[in-house]
Amino acid sequence: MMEDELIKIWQSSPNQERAKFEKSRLMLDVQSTLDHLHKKIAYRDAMEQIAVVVGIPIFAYYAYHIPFVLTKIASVLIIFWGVFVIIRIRSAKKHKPSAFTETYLEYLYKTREYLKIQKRLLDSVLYWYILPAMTLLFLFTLGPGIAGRLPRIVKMTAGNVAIAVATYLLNKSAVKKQLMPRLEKIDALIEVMEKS
Amino acid sequence: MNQELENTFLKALEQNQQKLLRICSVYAEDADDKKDLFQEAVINIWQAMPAFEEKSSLSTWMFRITLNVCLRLQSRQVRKRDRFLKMDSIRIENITIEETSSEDHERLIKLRACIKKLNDADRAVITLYLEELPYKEISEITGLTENHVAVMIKRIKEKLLNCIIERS
Repeated sequence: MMEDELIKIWQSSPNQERAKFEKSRLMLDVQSTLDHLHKKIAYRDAMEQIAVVVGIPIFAYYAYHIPFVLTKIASVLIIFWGVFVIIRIRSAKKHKPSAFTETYLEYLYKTREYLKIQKRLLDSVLYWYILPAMTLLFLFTLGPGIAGRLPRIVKMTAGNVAIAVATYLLNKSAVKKQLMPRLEKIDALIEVMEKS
Repeated sequence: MNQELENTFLKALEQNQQKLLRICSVYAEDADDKKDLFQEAVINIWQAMPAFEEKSSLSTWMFRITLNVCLRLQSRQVRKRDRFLKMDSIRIENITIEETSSEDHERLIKLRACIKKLNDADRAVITLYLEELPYKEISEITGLTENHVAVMIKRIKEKLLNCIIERS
């Protein structure tokens, strides 16, 4: 088979399938799809902000009104930690390649960089999310003292530990099942592009 | 968006739709998937239109976006999470095999099957070559040098021809 034939065969597809547009509706469709996407992004951002906007006054209230020193300290630290978590997640998202107008190779580099940042974020979730959350919640619970509250403290701590373990495992699984296969694929593609 | 931009977009889309569709076809698992990828490409092209700087031709730029969209949406998780809504204004029409030669159809199926066996990078480069884009444009789309593109195409063509012969 001649090489030119490859091109001929490839380009024979218009005889077998073609895209049809209803021009009058296409632009309306495209615009409404984009509007939907923008709403989705705005909703996601709003949800993140709501967690902070709702959380800060609640813990500020505890810090001000609850008389126990440990609870006050924990409440203030929880506010700072919450803000830190939001900033950390947002700054990792900033690297997501959103412009498809890069060259293919550049897009691969940016995707790899983004996936590596995501992987680092999830790999270290124990240190910036789980352990601080556990410690602060424990301090918060200990605030009123342990006298007569031990069974309750144990129950709450056990609940927190269970949630922490589940969060840790879910993040590990996301790295293993979602991020690593994509990262390996992107690495392989970059290698093919660079070494041909 | 102004009317002039809209007209340029629609005209460019009409001129390049077959080529874009063919590119999507090698990244799609089935007909529905092909339509979805094509639709995502159309939306992303329109979204990026105001940023088009005419450093390359509009069609080269459209190919670049389409390839990047196909690359990104290959992951099932990403596809589930990021998928846009279905658009009814785009339809992919299949022409019955009787209207075209069944031999041509078979050869096309074989070629597509062989292209699908390639890795994504090879697929990207060979589809652009099969669309008869000059090496310079392929280089602008992929970010490789023209020499690099030429070497790559030579290697991929050999692979493809061997695959087709094996299947014949």
